[in-house]
Amino acid sequence: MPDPANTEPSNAPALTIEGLRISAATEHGRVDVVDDVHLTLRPGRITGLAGESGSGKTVTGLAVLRLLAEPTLRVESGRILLGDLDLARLPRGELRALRGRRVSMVFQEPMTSLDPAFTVGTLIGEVLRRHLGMDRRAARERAVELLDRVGIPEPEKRVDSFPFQLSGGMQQRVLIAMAVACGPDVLIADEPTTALDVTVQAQILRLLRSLTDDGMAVLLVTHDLGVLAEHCDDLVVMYAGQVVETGPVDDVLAAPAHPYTAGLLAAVPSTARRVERLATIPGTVPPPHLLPAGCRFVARCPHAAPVCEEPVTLEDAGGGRSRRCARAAELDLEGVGR
Amino acid sequence: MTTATAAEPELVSGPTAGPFRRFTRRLVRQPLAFGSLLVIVLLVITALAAPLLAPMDPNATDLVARNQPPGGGHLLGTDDLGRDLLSRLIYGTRITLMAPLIAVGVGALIGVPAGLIAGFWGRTPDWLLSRLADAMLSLPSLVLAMAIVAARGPSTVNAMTAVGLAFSPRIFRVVRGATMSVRHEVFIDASRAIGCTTKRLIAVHVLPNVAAPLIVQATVLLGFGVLAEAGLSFLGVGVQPPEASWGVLLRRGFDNLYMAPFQSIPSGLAITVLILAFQFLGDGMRDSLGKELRRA
Amino acid sequence: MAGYAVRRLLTAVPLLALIGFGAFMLTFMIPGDVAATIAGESATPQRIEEVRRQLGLDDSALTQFGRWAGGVLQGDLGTSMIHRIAVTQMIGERLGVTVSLVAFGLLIAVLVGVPAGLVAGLRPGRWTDRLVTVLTTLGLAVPAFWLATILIIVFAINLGMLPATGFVPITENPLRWLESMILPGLAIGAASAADVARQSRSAVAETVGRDHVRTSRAMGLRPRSVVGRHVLKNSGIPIVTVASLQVERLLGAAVVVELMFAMPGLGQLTVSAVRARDIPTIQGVVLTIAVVVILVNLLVDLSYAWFNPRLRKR
Repeated sequence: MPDPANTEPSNAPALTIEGLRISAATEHGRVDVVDDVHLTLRPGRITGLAGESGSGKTVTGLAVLRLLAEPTLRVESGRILLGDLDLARLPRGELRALRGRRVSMVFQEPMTSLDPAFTVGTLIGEVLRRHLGMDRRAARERAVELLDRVGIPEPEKRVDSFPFQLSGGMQQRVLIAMAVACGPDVLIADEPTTALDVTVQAQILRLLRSLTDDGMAVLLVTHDLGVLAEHCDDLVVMYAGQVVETGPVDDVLAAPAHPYTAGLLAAVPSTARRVERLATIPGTVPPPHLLPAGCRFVARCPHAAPVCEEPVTLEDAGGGRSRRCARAAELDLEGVGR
Repeated sequence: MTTATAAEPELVSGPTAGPFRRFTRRLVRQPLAFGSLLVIVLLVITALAAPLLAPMDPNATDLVARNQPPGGGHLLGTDDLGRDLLSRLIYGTRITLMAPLIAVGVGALIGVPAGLIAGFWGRTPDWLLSRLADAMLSLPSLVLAMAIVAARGPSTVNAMTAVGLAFSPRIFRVVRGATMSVRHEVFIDASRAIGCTTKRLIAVHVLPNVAAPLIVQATVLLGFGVLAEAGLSFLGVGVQPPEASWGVLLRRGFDNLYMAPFQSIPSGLAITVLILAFQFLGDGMRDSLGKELRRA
Repeated sequence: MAGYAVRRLLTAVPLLALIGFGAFMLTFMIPGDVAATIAGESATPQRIEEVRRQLGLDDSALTQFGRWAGGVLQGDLGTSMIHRIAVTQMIGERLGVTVSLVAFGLLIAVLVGVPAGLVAGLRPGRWTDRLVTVLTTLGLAVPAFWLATILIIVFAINLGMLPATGFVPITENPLRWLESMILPGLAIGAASAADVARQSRSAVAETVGRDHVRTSRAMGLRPRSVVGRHVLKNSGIPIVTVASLQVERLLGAAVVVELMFAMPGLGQLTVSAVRARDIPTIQGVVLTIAVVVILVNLLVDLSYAWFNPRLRKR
């Protein structure tokens, strides 16, 4: 866990991504699947990274730990800053020393993401021994404490279980225990609840929230706006490989600044607003090799105008918010009340 | 080996291109498999035309020119009795090619009916035959063959029949698997419903589907047959002098190793190339089987 | 676990019974007058009668089998027709040599094959992968007895580094024993190393792509632990399976190679017994080898539980 001096809320970001561009090898040659992504994670806060499948959110998450399936996927440019360190350029050995210790990750499928051949205690202990130099016994004791911390009942017994003997929710808790074992500054959570039951989902998300008490920053990758509204502090919306809107969750939900965000919100059934029928965004995300030169959402946008054919940048809108829409100032988009 | 792609795009695929023609076309496009086929065909021609190709009588001894090194009057040198090694190698092709054919033939004669019975009827016959196959497979083929040779006496035919017996469980397994997979298909039930006899069912529906995997397995086993003949002959319990196979030549060379090490090279190399050729051909055929033929 | 072991052990019983029956039937496969054939061409009529009595050939087949099987169960494999010594004793004296040669070959196969398969499987398509593929193809095609010949020519005759003949028991001089094992071990182990490499390659290539390997990387584990612990243990079952299949292959190759290196093992015994048509000895060898192979398969099946904990807890 971080030392007490760090638990003071500070404004210094835990992690900053600047101008990240990632290309993929496809049948159409190398195309950019992530382009000009900017985002900031702050200590003690959960940032939701939202978008449809294919928007590049998972790839962005994996890129932070340089876990992209190279050479198919490759970071072309941009910086991923953890303090003074640029993770995108760090030598492999140094990066490995940071993974699991300062930046960590949990995955979507707990069932397949835990090595079936080892006990839970061994898996957690391995991380502790690698980074904190603990011996076998100390690592085991600490593993029991961690299992307790992530809400696993009878941790002294469960420490000797194999992953397949646990339920999906318990497996995800184990994965989280491994990820936070060394008290990382940043945790990337890639759709950690998608594979789980609804009731279990909420428990896992509350667990993630409680883990931020020590100042850990979380990037929660999800396509579920309900999860975002309920459990996140900040929001980053991606569309077709680009960030289209960022800002504090409540502000964005109340008054989205990008038509895509508004479209997503309209697609969510809400108790505050009676809906006759679920609105959906017409059309689909264009594939990476067929992106328009201007706004990438133009073909599906109800507010499209000639100005949208021009390239558009992500611009600061004040109040900790930013957006990528040429017409943002003139539009009054409907949000959702909470 | 498997670098050649199995999924070549079909240039011609009308109703005229039957599965066999498509198979041949795919096979021809794989350089290793096709080259191997050429090597085997050339060796068959060599065997048939041995009297024309061999520079000398393979059994003519010349006690003056014993253990001659390669070159000069003898391209591959002479053995300890002064016999021309190239001529012996050429004549040896005959038994070397014939022996694996005997083995695979015997193996198929036992393995195919057994596999059909086990695959078609299942239950008790399947259980019994499968256990028998397991039992035979827990012995090295060479040891099983040697045990039978011990009882029947050493000779080319006895040795290769024994090897064939040792191969039969391998053929049995392939046929059994292929039969089982066809057996559960709809058309068998349909044929039954319209009153086909079992014999007819097997002949018309099962055998054609078993043929493809069986041919592949047989090709692979031909390679093992070359190895088995060479091994048994090397041990002196296979091909008996004055008959000569490559295995016999290799043994003769080994007995002469300190006098003339070069004698061991051509026959050993020839055996290795032939085994490789059957291996590549088998791999190539497996890759060339379309979905319509690939089973088990 | 214990229940699984017992059940697995029981499946070996019908196998051994079948092999025993087959071995017994060898006597009946001898063409013509069995006693005359076994006694040899120059045998006197008295000798032939003696053989007939000794083998109990006058009794019914069933009585003969009962007597033979009863003896086998008590460890009595009969008496060699040639050497007039108990087969059990002859096999006992030679089994050690063969088992140590096979174990040595297996060691080479695993020590060479698994790392080669790892290197190839971790980076499929690279030049290392292609090299391993070429070498495994060659390794599987070269007959052990020709490889042995070449090894003798190079290392014993030309370089004079290692002995070509003369087996030294490990109890007598461990270093000389090792020297005498290297060439025959390599000769029989090469094909097995190729097979192990081939299977390890595909097992490793499959495992590397799994989610949990990515988790290990995400936790910052060193490549040594990721590969050495997580990839290897999860590739364990196919690798151990192919390694165990080598025992059968190695035993077959050992029969020939022992003879070439003048090693007093089961191979030599078998070859001389086949030439002399010494059926009791052959029967003993067949049973012994079958027991060894079946025992190894049993141990391997039990080892699966270590690699895959699911099997253990069921």
